[in-house]
Amino acid sequence: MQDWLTRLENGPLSRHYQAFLGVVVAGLVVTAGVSAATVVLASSMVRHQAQQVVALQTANTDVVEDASDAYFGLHKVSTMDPNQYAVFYQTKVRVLLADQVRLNDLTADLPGLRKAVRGQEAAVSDWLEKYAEPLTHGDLKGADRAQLTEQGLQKFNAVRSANNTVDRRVDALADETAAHTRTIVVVALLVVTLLPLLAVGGVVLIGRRLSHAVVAPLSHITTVMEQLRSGQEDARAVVAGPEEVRQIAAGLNLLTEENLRASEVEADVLAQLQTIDKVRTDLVSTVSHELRTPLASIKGYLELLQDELLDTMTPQQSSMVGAMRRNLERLNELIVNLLALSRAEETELVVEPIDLRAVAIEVSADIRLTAASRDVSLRTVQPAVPVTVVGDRSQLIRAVQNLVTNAVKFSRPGGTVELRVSEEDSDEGPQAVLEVVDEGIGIPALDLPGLGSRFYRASNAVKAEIAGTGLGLRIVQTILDRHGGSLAVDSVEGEGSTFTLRLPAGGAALDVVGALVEAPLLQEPAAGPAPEEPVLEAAAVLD
Amino acid sequence: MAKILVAEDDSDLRLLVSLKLESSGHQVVSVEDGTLAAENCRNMRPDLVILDLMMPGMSGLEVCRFIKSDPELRSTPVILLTARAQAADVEAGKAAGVDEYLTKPFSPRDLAGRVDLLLAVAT
Repeated sequence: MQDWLTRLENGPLSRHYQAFLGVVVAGLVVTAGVSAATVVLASSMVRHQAQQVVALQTANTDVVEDASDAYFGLHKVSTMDPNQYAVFYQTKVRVLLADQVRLNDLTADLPGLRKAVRGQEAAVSDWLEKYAEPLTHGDLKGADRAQLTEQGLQKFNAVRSANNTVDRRVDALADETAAHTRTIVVVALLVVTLLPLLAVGGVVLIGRRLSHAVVAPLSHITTVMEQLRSGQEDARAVVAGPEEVRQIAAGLNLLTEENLRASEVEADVLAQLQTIDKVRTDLVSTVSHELRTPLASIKGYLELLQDELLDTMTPQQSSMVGAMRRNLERLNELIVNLLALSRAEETELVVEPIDLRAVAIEVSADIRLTAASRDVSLRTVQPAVPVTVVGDRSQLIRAVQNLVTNAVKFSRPGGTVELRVSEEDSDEGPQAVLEVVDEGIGIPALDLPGLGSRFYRASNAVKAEIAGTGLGLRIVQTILDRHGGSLAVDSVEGEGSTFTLRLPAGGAALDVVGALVEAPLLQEPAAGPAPEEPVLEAAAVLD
Repeated sequence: MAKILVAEDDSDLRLLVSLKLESSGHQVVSVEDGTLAAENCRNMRPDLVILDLMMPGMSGLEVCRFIKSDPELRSTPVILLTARAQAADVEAGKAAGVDEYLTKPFSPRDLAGRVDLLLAVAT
């Protein structure tokens, strides 16, 4: 039984259900059957006993009535036809004897009663032999007759008395039977009540056992899943229980293993990517530095040569040297910008609160000389209160520097470049604004979308032979992305351009930049575009 | 007319600097190694030292620190010549005690000018 139950517990759940159903049905059937049988048995026993009593009573009554009738027959001797009387009496005696036999048969299992019945039989025999029979043969004289009649009465009274005894015995039996009946009814009631309870108990026990066999391993699996969720990597489910549950447990373990393996692979890949990224950054930086030394040689020797040959050079030779110097400048600028871009794309920002006004002033001071050499004047306009942003100081300076350098480069001689610092309110909170306004050659509308992608140069810049690498704006865009800011350009060809730089100001800045600085390695900054897409917004011309 | 020590591992640049400074009338001794540079400082007591940053042996910064920590050499002006121009690099140079920080590519005229300025200030 144990073995069968264990095998069942580890089998498929459908068999659990079937087994349970079977137990319930069996329980019902057995209970119903046994109860019915009990009731039937009980009622039959009760009926049988009652019938027995009634039969005894009837038989006993019949006996005494038959005797009375016989006695009556005898008494009517004088008034009736002797032949009729004889037939009547003999009939009655025959019936009496038959009834006695019947009564005796009924006392088969009742020794006490049988004794009383025997007593009655003896009395009846006595009465018949000593009184009735002699009287019927009629050979008696007057005086003997009187004596016999007296005897007859006495003997009949004895019969009556014996009959009463039997009656009493039968009554006693009836009482006994009633007691038995009560007992039988009680027992039957108990059976009919307790058996269903037992059946229910058995069903419940088996049901609970089967249910436990399913619930326990499922709970265990749930526990293991909780452990896994809370970071316990070595948690595994024990594969036990019903077939389907075992499959679930095994499946969970398999998934966990694969998950762990995938995580390891992921970590590996991430590490590799980080290494590659670092190598790339280091490479750009190293190469850029390495390029500077030969550049220094070329530029330096060219200068010496120019000094030595100054007086003897033809104008043509001079312009050749000029071309060489210009292109050396271009090379240098390219290296500077590559380095700047590489730095801007690097993943670590060193942030601090910065007053944008100070940035404008510093850039202004740096570029003033260069601007003056092109006859372009610089002007700064700023509020009396600080305009605070959070970010990397050198990168912000580079961004503004690039914008102002461009403005100066594309200005006409005699023109002015203005730096305007201010603070604005917007939907996303307070914003620091820096505008670089020039009155130079402007940007053709067609070229506006391409600005900011690597190496893109507007057509009019290329046409006017203004030196540039096209990296400047790209660097500005990258730096602003890392700082959660934005760049917009407003330009009319031939009239000038306004580049508007926006950054989160004040307290909001900390949250935005903080989030960007903490962004996991190799993810695009939250506010940033995809690397190769130009993202400047070309606003409609104001004013 | 001053004695100038130049330490630079690139031979072309070494020659370039020597040529320019000699044409300005100075006497130039050039080495290609930082450790040699430090030794030569001791021996010849130059009036000015020009150091490349990345060199075999001691680096330009190390040589500079060496010079500035030696009581007899401390007053010698030091020009650091380097391709590295980040703010952090300039800070490191200042911390080591360099008097001038010049980035490559540089103009020889510019270099000569700064040399003359530093020599004038030193005397």
